[in-house]
Amino acid sequence: MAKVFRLYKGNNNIQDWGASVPYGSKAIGDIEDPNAASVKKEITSIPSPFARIDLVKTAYKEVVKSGELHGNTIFHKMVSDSLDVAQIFFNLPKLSDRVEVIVWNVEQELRALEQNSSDGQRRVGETLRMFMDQDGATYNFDRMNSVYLLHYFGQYRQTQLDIIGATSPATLFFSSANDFSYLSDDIRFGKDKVFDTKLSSLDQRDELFVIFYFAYQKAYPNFARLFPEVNEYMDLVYRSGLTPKQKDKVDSLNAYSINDYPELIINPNKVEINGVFYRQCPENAKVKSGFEIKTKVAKEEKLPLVLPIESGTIYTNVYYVSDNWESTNKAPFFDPKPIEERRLPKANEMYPYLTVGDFLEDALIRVININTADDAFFGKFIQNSSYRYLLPLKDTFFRYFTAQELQGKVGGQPMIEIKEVLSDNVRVTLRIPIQGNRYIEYTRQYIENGDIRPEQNKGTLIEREFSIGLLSNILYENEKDAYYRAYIMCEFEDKDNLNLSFKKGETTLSVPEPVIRNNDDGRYQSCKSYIIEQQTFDIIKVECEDYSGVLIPVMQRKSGNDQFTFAIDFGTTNSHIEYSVNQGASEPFSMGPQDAMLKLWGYLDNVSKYIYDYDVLPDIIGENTLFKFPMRTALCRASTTNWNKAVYPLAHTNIPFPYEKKRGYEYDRVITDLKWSNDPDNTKRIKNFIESLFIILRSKVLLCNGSLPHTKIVWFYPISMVENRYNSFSDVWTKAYEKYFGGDKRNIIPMTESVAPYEHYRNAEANVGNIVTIDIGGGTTDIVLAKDGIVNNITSFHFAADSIFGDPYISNRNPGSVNKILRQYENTIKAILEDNSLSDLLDILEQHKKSCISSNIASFYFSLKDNNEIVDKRLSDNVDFNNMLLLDSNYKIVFIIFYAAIMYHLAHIMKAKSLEMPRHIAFSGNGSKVIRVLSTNNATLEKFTRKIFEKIYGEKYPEDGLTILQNENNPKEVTCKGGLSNPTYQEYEQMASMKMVYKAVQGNEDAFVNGETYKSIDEAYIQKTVEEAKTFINFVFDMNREFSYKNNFDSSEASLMIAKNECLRDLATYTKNGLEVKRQEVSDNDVIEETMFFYPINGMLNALISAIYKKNN
Amino acid sequence: MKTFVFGIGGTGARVLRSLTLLLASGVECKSDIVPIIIDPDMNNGDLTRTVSLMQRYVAIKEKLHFSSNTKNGFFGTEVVEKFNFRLPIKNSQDITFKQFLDYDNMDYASKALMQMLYSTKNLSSDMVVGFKGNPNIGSIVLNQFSDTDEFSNIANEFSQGDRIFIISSIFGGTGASGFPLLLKTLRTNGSIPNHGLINSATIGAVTVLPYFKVEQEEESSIESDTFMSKTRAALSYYEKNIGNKIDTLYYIGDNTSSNKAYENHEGGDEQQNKAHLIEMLSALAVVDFANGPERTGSTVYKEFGLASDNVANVIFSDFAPETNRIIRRPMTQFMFFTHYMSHIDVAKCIKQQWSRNYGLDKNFFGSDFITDIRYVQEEYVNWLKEMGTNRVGFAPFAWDNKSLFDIVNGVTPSRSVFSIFQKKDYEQFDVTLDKKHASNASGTKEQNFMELFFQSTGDLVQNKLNF
Repeated sequence: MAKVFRLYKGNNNIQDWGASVPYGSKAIGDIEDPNAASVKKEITSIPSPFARIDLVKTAYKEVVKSGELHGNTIFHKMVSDSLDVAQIFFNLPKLSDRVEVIVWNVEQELRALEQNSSDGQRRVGETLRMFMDQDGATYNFDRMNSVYLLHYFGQYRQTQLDIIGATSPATLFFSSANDFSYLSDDIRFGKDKVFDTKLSSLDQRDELFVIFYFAYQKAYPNFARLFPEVNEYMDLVYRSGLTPKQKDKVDSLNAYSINDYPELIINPNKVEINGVFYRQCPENAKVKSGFEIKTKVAKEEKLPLVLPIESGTIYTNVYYVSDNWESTNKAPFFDPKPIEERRLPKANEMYPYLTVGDFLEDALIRVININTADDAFFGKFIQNSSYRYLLPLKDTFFRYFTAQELQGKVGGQPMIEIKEVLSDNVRVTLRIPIQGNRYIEYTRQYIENGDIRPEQNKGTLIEREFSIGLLSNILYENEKDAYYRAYIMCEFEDKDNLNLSFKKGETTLSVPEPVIRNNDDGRYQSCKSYIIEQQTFDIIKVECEDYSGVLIPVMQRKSGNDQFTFAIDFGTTNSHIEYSVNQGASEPFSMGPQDAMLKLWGYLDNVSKYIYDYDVLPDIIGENTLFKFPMRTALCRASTTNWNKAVYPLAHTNIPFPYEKKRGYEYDRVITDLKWSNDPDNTKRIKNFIESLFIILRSKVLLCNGSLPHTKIVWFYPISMVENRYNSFSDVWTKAYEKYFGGDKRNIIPMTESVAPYEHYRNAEANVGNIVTIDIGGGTTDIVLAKDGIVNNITSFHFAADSIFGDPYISNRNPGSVNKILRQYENTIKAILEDNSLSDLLDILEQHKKSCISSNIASFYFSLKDNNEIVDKRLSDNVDFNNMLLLDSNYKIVFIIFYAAIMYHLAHIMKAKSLEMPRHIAFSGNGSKVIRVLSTNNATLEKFTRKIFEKIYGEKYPEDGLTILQNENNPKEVTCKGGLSNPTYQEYEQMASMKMVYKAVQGNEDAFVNGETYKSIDEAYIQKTVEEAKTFINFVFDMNREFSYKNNFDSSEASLMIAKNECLRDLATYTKNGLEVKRQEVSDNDVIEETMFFYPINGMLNALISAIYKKNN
Repeated sequence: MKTFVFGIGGTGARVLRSLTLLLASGVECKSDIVPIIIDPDMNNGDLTRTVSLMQRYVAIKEKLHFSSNTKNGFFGTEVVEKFNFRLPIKNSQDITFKQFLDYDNMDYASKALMQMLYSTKNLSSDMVVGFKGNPNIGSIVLNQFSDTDEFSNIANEFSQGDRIFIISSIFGGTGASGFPLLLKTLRTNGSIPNHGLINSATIGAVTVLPYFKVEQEEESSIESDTFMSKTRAALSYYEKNIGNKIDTLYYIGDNTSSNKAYENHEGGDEQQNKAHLIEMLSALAVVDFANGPERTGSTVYKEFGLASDNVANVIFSDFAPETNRIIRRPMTQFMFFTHYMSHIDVAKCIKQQWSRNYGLDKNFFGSDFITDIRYVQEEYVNWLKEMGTNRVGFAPFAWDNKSLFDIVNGVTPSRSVFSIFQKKDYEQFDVTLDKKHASNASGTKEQNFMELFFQSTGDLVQNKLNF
């Protein structure tokens, strides 16, 4: 065999210069290139300006020829770089801040060069055209319209024109011969940095791109013919590189799959390769990363990735964006850019991601806690000090997770942990779930007085004194059912720096401006009240100067079916509430600690606790506690309350349970005259009172597993109330019920104060078929006549406890106008309070004295014996006002006249109605306590009463006699209990029809009002009334002869004498005064709705008291 | 008939050197040769050496006359000097490629395209020493043949029947780019003089594939590791873009793995590589082409084969008969001539009979003519020695002071029965000269001198070596 001087092994029979064959691809392919695998330098042997395009074409061919997809030769490098270019084009919009496209239009640019005056440029133009013409078919130059060139202008640029790649008519894309590894860190797709020495074949790239490339191949007409090298390369990729799953995806592609990708528009051009449009990554293309946040809440298309902040191997098997996470990767602690505008660390792609700085606050707020309640979530707490910390979670956290999830576990570990490393060093660990049951752990150290350096993951620890209250922490299924109040209390000077907001997930609720009652009074702590209505929330965010933290209340999910019935006796002086569950036994309203409504967290001292008691709600109400029913009917409001604006119960106003028991605040105003006041704002006051009450009641229902819509509420009205006022009340009650309970309107049940006690006695006592019930309140007395269990007649009149202790017909209140019985005992009571250092009560007394409202003072006197402080000091007997009066013979005549007046009136009515004398008379109402001043012996009373009846009837009392029934301890309960025992809707009209108004003693036929209006009342009518009063007074004095007041009631003779002188004076004036007051609430055309009999007596009693006082002082 | 031989780049120059020496030795070429070197690297050592050799050749040839009566074959082929054998490449001196392109004044898009097609290193390369293995640069810079007066002038000289031959290497810069570009121009340019003739002329080319290595130097732009890769890439390009334009394409190259490494010079006067058999064979391709048939319309591809597979030191006997027919006798004759000239003492020589007969006095032996001959002969020896020490080596002659007739390797001189041949080498040579002198006495001294030596060496070769 002879030698032929050639590089490949072939026919060696040639001798001399002998004929051979052209060097075809076989021969060229057979040329041994021992260095091919290690060649690093660029190949530059193509005698064409388009050498680079040819080289890339050759590179594809060589890689295919080697059969080795993942080699490291210069050919692999060129293919890898060209694919980098393809991938940059594909992701161009995401890289628009660092890469742009320059268009080189063939015809336009060639012409410009060829016609240039510069020899060099002209030569370039001519040469390019010559090569494009002559080599056109080989490289598809004949199809090429433009070359699209990538211009990199990012931070690592090295010249003013770094051109890093372009489209190629022969291989779709080609790379530059320059070394662009310096920008690898700036552009990367997953671990694959562009143009670096770590080469990536097509299959080693982002799957989204891989599939797209195959889609482009399928959509490109004649791809295999036009790009044979790339086509074969892709065959090799399919064969040796793709996973079976990826092959499935490629198999499912068709020529139309390309439409899933938008065209790549570079104004005004669209990037095309030989006329076929290239495409870009769909805008909303999701990265399929293992770091994608695992959320049930957020529904956004592009969920952010949650990235580790520490390098290491923990996550190296987690897929990042186009490759696994690298051990050297780590996210910054803090990224100042909006999440949507961020670039993934290392990958450098614009894609949302999250890091520790997005979740954890810069400051951790420590709150001294005296309340160990477990009804808020403070994280898994390690080292249980008495501190609590607001969770330092930013809003972003709640965009992806619920408060509920926060309380759970992630990968078997608590989602959030707070560890007190040292007293001034607290570590917070948060675990954020990502895909595949994994999580990213973020930890931040908070150092007391430490610097805030989010970029270094350092936070500061601060301590603040405040408390947060929530009424009530109930979880509502429906937004519309939710009524919350929240409070934050702090030192006065901190009030502007502390704010609450409420979040449901990431949404912050819109709530009215919080209410601060003491805006100016720096003596007291300040409480900010927030109103949240018909909205639910699960997070309370506390903003504290520039810092914030969250409190997660553990709300109770309640869905009971128990049926609650409340009976509310909204009285002139006192109110009482009884309730029953599922028609069971009734009991006075109570709450706490099991069903405490107001949850308090944080720093609470006695001072702040008491402000909550007074301005919001005590934590406990009930028997044997400081606060209980019946209580004073009163509404507390901020002094600044403007009734013309929205006024919210339990914010601007509340029911002051401590009223009369503890001193109040100067910034508050307490309104007591709610029931009968003619003040223009009174309806609003009542509304606030009732709504305050309802918020409390509904909480009670929910906390005790009741059903709101099944709750019944019985409220009482006196029969003497005019229809207008009744309607106004009814409206308030009904609307409030609908608002807070939302049930059937028929569940809000009006009953008359008169009939309710009857119902109680009818159920409580045996043999009470024929009974008269007399309910004496503060302002009115209601009488019901019943026979055989059926109510026949009702009457009602303004003659009650206030007739003795009040100051009727006084228009100009002053210290001198205060009722003299009260004045009589002022010093006594004051001395006792002083002797026992009951300063709060003394303060209250002083406040009352200043107000000069006699009924308030009386109410205070009567309340003393049940006051907790008094009880605690065992002073109840000493300050039992009832008892004092019982023992005081001077004033006894007042109570005799009071009692006799009612019985006298009753007997006349019954006689006029031809009824038998009553078998039972039952007393109820707080005012009925005055009867016990007369005598504590029922027999004496019964005897006295019988005498009155016998005298009026002119006949002997029947043999069965008379039984008087009293509820000694709490006569107020009777109304409520009666209401609960038979909650029956008693319409005003229906009640009115049973109502009788006894006029006078002119004869049976016209003894009762029968359609006469107030207009008809003339002097004669008044005179007849005065005459009747005189008749009555004489009746009382005459009775003394048969029934000695001295003997039976220990009434002083002297007082009796005074009475005889005093009682018959000025009766006409008093009658007119009484009528005058009445006329304020009725019109001329209203039917006369109460007897005028008591008008003169009202005034007369007051005068009598003054006279006795005068005599004795 | 003329054959315009374009020697492009360093390889082109070296092949022309071989060709010149072969022609000097009397290798027969039926066509006049118009050598034209295309190389922007004006200081290339290979180029200057070749040019000055050719100039001596021309100078010698001018003194000689050839007719049917003359037997001399030395310097027998007409070599035509045009423009110092060089086709100037304009605007490539003292500027960078970037400046050549007028890159800085290009519009944005074209700048960007240039960035993409050429590396930054390409763009900033200075081109003083050519294109340093970057034919893509050459493809633009050299695309100016048709613009030059010199080229027009050459084209004007083109006559019916004249041929064109292009010598280039595929793995370098200048040759690799110049060849396709020149071919494209010759075949397609419609604006050059005689374009009708030229476009359809018989064109041949030798494409020299890698046959040597250069020493690896990190900083150099020439890296022989890439030669094979480059070659394959370029061959692929030729396959698609050259084949249809050429009549005869000669491929030659050699597996470089065992070949010697040359010192690494990017160009300049230091680039003066040792001559190599491949270059001589390439020169023979010119002869083969010039002596070959007219174009037939289809491309003929040729490769060179030895008769043996000896790849260490090739000697005449390793060639097949046809090659030996062409080169063995003239090369040996010229070797004898050279040998004699290098060993004679002029003072002694002028006393010889044959000198005296022709009046070849001291002046003659000190003339430019003899100086030029000595120069060429010196080059001839150098050339042979270089080839002998290269790998693949070509060592037809021995240098170890053997007797003159033992100088041809692989050949044992015949021991003649005639007494004359019993004499010592040079005495015997003188005897032959004296004897030949009798039959040749007309003409100039130079003509007579050359005729005498040609015929004498011819006799010696014939008688002693039987060539």
